Amino acid sequence: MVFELGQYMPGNSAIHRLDPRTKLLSLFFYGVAILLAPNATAALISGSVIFPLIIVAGLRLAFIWRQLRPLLIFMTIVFAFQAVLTPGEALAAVGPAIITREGLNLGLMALARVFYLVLAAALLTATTDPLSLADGLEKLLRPGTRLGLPSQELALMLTLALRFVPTMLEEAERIMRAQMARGASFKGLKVKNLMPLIIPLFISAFRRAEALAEAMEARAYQGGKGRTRMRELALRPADYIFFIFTIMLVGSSFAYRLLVK
Amino acid sequence: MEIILKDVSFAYQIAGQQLPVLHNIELKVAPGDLLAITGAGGSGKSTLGQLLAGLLEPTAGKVYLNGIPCQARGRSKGVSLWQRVGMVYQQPEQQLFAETVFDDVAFGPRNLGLSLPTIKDRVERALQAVGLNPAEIGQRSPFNLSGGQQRRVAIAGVLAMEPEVLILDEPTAGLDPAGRAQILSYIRSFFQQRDKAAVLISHNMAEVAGLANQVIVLYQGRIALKGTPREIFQQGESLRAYRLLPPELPRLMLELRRLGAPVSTDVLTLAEARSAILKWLRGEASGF
Ligand SMILES: Nc1ncnc2c1ncn2[C@@H]1O[C@H](COP(=O)(O)OP(=O)(O)OP(=O)(O)O)[C@@H](O)[C@H]1O
Ligand SMILES: [Mg+2]
Repeated sequence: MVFELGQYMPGNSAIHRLDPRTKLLSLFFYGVAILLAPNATAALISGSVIFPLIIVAGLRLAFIWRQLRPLLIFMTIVFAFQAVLTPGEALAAVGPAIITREGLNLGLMALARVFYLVLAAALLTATTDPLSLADGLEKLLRPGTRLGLPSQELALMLTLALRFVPTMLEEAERIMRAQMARGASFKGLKVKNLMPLIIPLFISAFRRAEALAEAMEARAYQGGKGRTRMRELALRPADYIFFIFTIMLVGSSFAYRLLVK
Repeated sequence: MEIILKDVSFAYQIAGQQLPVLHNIELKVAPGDLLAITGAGGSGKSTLGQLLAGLLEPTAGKVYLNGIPCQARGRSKGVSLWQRVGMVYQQPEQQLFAETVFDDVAFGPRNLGLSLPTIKDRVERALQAVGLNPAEIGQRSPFNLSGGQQRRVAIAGVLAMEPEVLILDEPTAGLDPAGRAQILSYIRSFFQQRDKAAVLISHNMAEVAGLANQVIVLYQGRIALKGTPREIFQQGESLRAYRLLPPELPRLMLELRRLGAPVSTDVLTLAEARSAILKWLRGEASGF
């Protein structure tokens, strides 16, 4: 497949077995920890805790690479802008642009942040099946229900989106091939060229949505309050331990920042 | 146009893992062939069709067009031999996209870079070939047509490319009996033109028996049986091993035989069944 961002890789590793809430919250705090890092070295070091987790989860290097590849250009641009546009002590000149020490530091830091956040997000989606991910999110959003947040509906929307993204991608490939059989070319990004792909794709998405809505109504889905579930989430000791480590990471990141400042 | 698959295998890539679907397929489609590909659901029929149409690249083995090894469409540059192979996908009505029926059918010929009069001519002939009236339906939106009409517009879209080999993936699935019969008769008349070949993917045994002059049965991604419809359907009950239901007429004859009526089991059409049974009723026992 062309596009594999956020794909679930079934497995039974310790990371797979963690509660989705643990993983969601840890992703959040991991992000905070990286953003708190005051310089490139700190960002690189504090983020590196992700590597053993990736190994434990049994994700392959090729998989990780496919997750990062689409963002490569973005990351390069971020780095280049920071490196060139930050005023400071000049290190080298590339044509009219001057790379500064401060720029290099900032650029590397930005790079590390994007890199680690993508890795962490990939780790979360690769080790958590979409259903439990939505369950976990719903549970986490539950306190907001009192303030009028439709947590159940949000979770359902997320589930459906996650469920149907791969289906749509497969469908897109199929339609592309079918139009190629009629001599269509999808090279270049002209909107006109994309019509033979986009229109059938939208029509099928709407049809699918309608069918799904009917199927849910036929089974008396009413959404919202009072729904029970087949699998109840339960936190296990491993979850608490994992979460304590996450908090320690944020704590040390925060302390370091205070010390350096 | 002659398509040859030599030792072709194919696997889909899912989440970085390989899902093997076809194994070591040897196949040849030459002008004058009407090849039927049949097999249970999931046996790899549609995948094989797409390999024959150059829409998928084999993971192993080679595809030859007129003896020249060819890569799948989109990979090779310039005018490709694949233009002469047309494929009608399973549920082709899902690919309709243009504002009018005319524009949709004209999409292929336009991509071939033909002149407007030629395009018009081709579109009209293609619509007529599938039994639609271009004057009546040409300016309508394809999305307001009935399912059967949409299917026919989609098939016309491929016919308008004037392929030499036409591959159809379950073209009659989900149609009413009249629509079925109509589409089968277009396939027959297409293939009766000079130098044309057709590949019909179907799991409807009666359809295959009545139309094809060559049949292959796919089972778990391999060619399990290969032969004329007669040779294949003589296998009777053993077809069940490949998760296929033997067609009804040979089954009827086998059943009659089991009950003690000495009828011929070499029967494909209603007319043949009729004469075999009459023969028995008139007391002329067959030579079996
Ligand atoms: N785009 C795809 N991505 C991944 N796997 C696929 C894809 N298309 C088909 N498959 C798998 O390949 C196998 C063969 O599929 P194929 O569509 O060729 O079977 P088929 O014989 O045409 O079945 P049917 O009679 O149901 O149309 C199936 O196991 C299917 O799950
Ligand atoms: Mg199929």
